[in-house]
Amino acid sequence: MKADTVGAITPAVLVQLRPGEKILAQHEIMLHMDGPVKVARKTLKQLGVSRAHLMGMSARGDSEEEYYLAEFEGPGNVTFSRDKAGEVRILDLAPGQVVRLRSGHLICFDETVQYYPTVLAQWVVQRGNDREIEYLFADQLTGPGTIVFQSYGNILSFTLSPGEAIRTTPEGLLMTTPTNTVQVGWRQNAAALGVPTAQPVLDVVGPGAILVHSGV
Amino acid sequence: MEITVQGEFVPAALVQLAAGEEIFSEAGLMVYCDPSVRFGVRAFTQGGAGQVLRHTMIGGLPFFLHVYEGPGYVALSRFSPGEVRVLDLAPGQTVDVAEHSLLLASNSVQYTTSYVPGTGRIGRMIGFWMDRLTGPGRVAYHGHGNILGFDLKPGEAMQIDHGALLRKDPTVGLRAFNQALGGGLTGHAMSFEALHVEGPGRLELQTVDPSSRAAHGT
Repeated sequence: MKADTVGAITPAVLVQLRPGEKILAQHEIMLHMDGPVKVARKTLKQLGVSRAHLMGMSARGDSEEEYYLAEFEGPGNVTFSRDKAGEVRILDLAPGQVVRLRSGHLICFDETVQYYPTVLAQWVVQRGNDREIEYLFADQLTGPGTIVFQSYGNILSFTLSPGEAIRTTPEGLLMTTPTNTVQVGWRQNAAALGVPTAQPVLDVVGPGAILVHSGV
Repeated sequence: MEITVQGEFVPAALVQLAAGEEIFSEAGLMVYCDPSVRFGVRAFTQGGAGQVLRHTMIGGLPFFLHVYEGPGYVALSRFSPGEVRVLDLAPGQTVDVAEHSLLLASNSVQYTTSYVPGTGRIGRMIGFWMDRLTGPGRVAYHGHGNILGFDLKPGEAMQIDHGALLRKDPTVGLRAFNQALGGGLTGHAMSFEALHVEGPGRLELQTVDPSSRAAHGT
């Protein structure tokens, strides 16, 4: 596919498909299409995600994962928008190259890319007398092929050396390579009404690449 | 009447009105104005009481439009990220603008509505109204996100999301349909609503669906 960013603040992505070329995306983010583009349905099971894995993801709460994706087949043009202010990145993955992208930010990807929803981090929060587990869901994408995704706000890129660490928040982490380890820590906040509070933070330890975004 | 677009991320249209010159807009769009500007209202009366109730209570159009009379300046905004476009309409020239996108129009512009029927399926679109504006006069409208423009040739068609539609010429045909997601009963059951547009004419799309949270800056 040939993908181009259209517009600046709330960008759209214009994808030009050659005859027979297929991409996958959520159908809700389609803005327009022209030409004889064929639209079909691809379940996650067809993409190699087992039912047990999907049920496990679903049991962990609202993972924002769809049980199916829309498949757009060329020739023709399709435009997508995530209705958010931010930056669009178009990334060509080499064969076997893996990235983990925060859930809800993927726009589209070549059918050659392997898609697998996963959990990037989890932590326990105390709400009154209840202890709840919160999850950071991610889309694991394996090349070869092109992926297109969008941040909320601006993207900051870092390449971590072995053992080098960066601290971010669960909201700030946009993408990481699987060579990085993601550890959950806690940042103590000032006591409110005499009760100390803590906030989860993510310590990402290299080697690998990491993208952080400035919006939520 | 001079219109200047102020700001970039969340733009406003600043209108400089001569003495006696009037513009109208929906309520709640004014950012600031000159104290010398006189303010009034204009009722929506198209098609009699039944039609007015249908358009306003079902269609969501305002009962009253606000009228500003010069001399002085008034700035209007949709208070959301996007682009503002200004258009000079020749006498008799008509454009259709999506609901809640019109910022202002000079009082010489005729304001009516145009209904686009939905697919009518249970749980699907029941249809929507567009603002129909006929010149002579000047109009300004707000596109949520970025504006993408197309000049469609006769018979040239495309399929668009409902929330993407911003502005079209009346010559551009518009029809709601269900886009099946693959074949079979499941594909039809999972279909989603879209609009089939067909030229000739000018078509403008917006990259943010106004019904989404982003359009309201949240």
